[in-house]
Amino acid sequence: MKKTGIYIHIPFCRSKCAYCDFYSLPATKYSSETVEEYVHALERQITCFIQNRAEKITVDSIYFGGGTPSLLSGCQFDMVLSLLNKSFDITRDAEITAESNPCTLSKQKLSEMKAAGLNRLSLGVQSFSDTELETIGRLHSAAQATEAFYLARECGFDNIGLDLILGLPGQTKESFFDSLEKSVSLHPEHLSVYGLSLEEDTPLYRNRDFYTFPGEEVCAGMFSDAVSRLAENGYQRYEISNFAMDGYRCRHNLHYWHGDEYLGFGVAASSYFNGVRSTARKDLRAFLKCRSSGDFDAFSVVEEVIGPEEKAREYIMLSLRLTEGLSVSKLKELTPDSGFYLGKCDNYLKSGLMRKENDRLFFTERGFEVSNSILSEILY
Amino acid sequence: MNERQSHIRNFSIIAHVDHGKSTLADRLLEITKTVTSREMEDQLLDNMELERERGITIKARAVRMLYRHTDGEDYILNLIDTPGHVDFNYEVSRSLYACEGAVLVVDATQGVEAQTLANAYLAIDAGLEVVPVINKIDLPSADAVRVRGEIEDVIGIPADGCPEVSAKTGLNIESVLSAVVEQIPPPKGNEDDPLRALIFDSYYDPYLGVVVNIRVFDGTVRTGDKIKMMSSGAVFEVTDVGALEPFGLSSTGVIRSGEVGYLTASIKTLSDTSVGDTITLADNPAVKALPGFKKVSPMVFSGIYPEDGARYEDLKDALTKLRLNDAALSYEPETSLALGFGFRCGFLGLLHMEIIQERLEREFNLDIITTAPSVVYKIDRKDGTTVFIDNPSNYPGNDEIDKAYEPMVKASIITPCEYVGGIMELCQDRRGIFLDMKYIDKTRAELHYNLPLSEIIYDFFDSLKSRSKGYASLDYELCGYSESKLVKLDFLLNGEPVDALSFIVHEEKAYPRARKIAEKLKENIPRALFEIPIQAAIGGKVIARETVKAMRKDVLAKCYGGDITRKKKLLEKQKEGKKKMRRLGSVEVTPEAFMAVLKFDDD
Repeated sequence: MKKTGIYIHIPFCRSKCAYCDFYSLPATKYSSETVEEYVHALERQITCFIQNRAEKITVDSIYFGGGTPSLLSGCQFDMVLSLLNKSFDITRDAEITAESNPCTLSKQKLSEMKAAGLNRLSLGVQSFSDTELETIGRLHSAAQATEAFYLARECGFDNIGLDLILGLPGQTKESFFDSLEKSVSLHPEHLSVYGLSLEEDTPLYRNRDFYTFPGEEVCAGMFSDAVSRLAENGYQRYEISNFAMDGYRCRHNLHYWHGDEYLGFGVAASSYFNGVRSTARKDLRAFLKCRSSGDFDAFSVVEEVIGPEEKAREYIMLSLRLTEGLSVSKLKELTPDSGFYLGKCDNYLKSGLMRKENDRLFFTERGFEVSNSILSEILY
Repeated sequence: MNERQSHIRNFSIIAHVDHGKSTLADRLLEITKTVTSREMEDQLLDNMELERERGITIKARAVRMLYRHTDGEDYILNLIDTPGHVDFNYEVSRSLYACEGAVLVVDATQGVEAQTLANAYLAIDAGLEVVPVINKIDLPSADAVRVRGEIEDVIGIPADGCPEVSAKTGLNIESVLSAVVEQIPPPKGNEDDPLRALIFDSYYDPYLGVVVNIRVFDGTVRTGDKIKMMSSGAVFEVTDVGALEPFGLSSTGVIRSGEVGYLTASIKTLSDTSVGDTITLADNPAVKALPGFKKVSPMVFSGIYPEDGARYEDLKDALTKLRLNDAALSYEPETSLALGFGFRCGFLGLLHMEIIQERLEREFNLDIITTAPSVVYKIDRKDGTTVFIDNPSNYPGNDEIDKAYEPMVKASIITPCEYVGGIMELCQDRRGIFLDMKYIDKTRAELHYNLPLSEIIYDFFDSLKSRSKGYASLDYELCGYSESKLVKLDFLLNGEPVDALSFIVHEEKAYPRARKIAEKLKENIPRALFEIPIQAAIGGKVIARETVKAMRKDVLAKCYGGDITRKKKLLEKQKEGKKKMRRLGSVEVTPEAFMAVLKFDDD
């Protein structure tokens, strides 16, 4: 049976981090009334979406991303989740995640979130070095992150993921492994290690010349060491940047990587539904206006209609992000041109950047590190 | 000589670069009301975009002016503009042959420079009356007395009472016109003799066919005449003749002896109208052709390839068109393993080469790759034959070579005395042989060196300028071949030789140059997923090596919130960036990598 994921974007933060180019507003640009209005608009959007739909869609993951979703009150989470429960067929074991910033988490907030039905936290720790945290404009300290983690445990969250960033300005091998050790010592169920990407239109990019970034060689070394350290501690790499204990892979993100359908609600959220990928505009005011008009469809921009060939190409791009890689027989089912793509992989197989076992083709560790270059060669 | 001819003056303006030749021409056009001030724009005769941008004259141009002299008589003054850079000396000579006199412009703040001398001698050798004019006297550092002395002592022509002007402000411009009328002789020749007209320039016009600029020495040519090209024997019927105006052609129906003008005759190909040829009438031909010009031979050769192989035909078409206006450009097809189909092109010098490249890119919208410039080497083979090599790919193996020779130039450098030391050092470093040095005055010296042409075509001029704070000037002429120890330097990428990167170099220079180019290649070859060794080799022996390390890591960007479309766009963009690259075997190289080999800056 087809199972779908739901993504809900919360475009509010206390302040904007120096590296972030996602759509979110700092506290100076909104009030608590705005947040309340936004939640009501979300409710209206969900209601409009299910109108005239004969059958309920089965959903097994809900993901609040941002921005800083943990800025919502327990009550607001409850409103959204209750509506989703009524509107969709949410499976009993559904994974319900909120990204959260350690500085927004009190014991009370965490218990309310738990009570509202959230069962997974993705904690944006980024680093356990206070200097690094300050440089990138995070509002929390390393100690606050640790405290938030323990509070979450106390409140019953038994599925927590920590995010770390590799390649931060001023980061050294030592400071990175210190962050990694501290993360591991907390025993989270899930760990993500993202390479910093300098996006234009961010303060970090504009001021890049004032910072010292660890070099490519250093980053590559840190990453491969991290992979083995995490493995020693029971964290299996299952995607380029993601590691998990057995049974704790992030189901929501796996939907993306498996090419499943997903629904996005809120500003800037992407959906892939009935073969169409669309993304909502990055305009909070316009979104709030839709609350009265109800015309949320016009608020979204259709980006692509994914035909069979594109579906196959996306399958290559997404499945190769996973350590399990792609299934050759599935690719052959998806496209008559599978030979074209597989042929391009031959060189990488020879040079040890890819491997093939039975039906599956996947990146080696070295291949993962240059996967962008390889994928752009295979696909374009 | 008849009354008509006595009221004609044909003259050129010659000068060292930047001494104000084009500005003076502008003022003359203005004061004779050949153009109104409304139509006036700077460097009016330099109508090529490139000429204005660089502030230089590349192509010679002609224009007719009408002038009422102080004697109350009206005169026709035909001004034939000339380029100033040493690369274009041949254009200067061509213009001079169409004239009776030349106005020699000298900058009052700089004095006589290398090309002042060279151009003045060209004019004197062509039997022209030289009228010196001292320009820029409005500048605070102007020293007309000293400069007048230099003209007399160094060039050896009287300069007492010569016009002292400011072309910029328009001061004393009238005196130049007076001097032209009074000092330059009117044209000789008889309008009733058989026609003899010299082709001093030609260009292709898509509507008119070939337009030739002529100077009629004897006889008369009219619209409707049957004319014959004396060297090719080709016969045409004249469709139009007339005068050259600043903004185009002005049909007059007739051109008589002593006059300058244009002629069209439905000529489709330029090979029928070689510059320097004499035109005569088919049914009343002249017995003897005019002397014509020394054929210009290119000194510098390089391969030009389209970046996109599919545009080979476009490149060919563009070169054909450029050749119509530029007799000095030569080209023939060649192929390179690395670059595919292209052309081996010959140029007068590096500036000429740069200009052709820029015109191909701008006027024809072509992206091109150029290989390292090469001079023409002479090789005596062991089998007793002699070959001339302008393409490193054709360089024989060492075991086949008996003796190798490279072209030499005699260079004349004029510099303020304080820079003599630095300049001698530079010439030494470029394997120059010192000939002599003399003092022009207390502050300036003229140096003569024999230098290998290959040493000056790269960045000699730039180095000269930087060592003399811009004050030294250079002129040179070919002076034959000298025996030399030459080697062919090859480059290998990932073990595979790249023919387009090879060049010939003096043995002593091979090692430093090999190292420098290997470094430059390293900077210009993007890292790939595998390591790329760069090797420089002479006859299979590696003398320099660099390595482009393999890419270790591209950013593991988060595939955020299902925005897969964006991620795809990023991958596509990454691939787009690689499309401009050339694949050489297993290595991808930016077009800039080839250019890197061209530039040897001293830093």
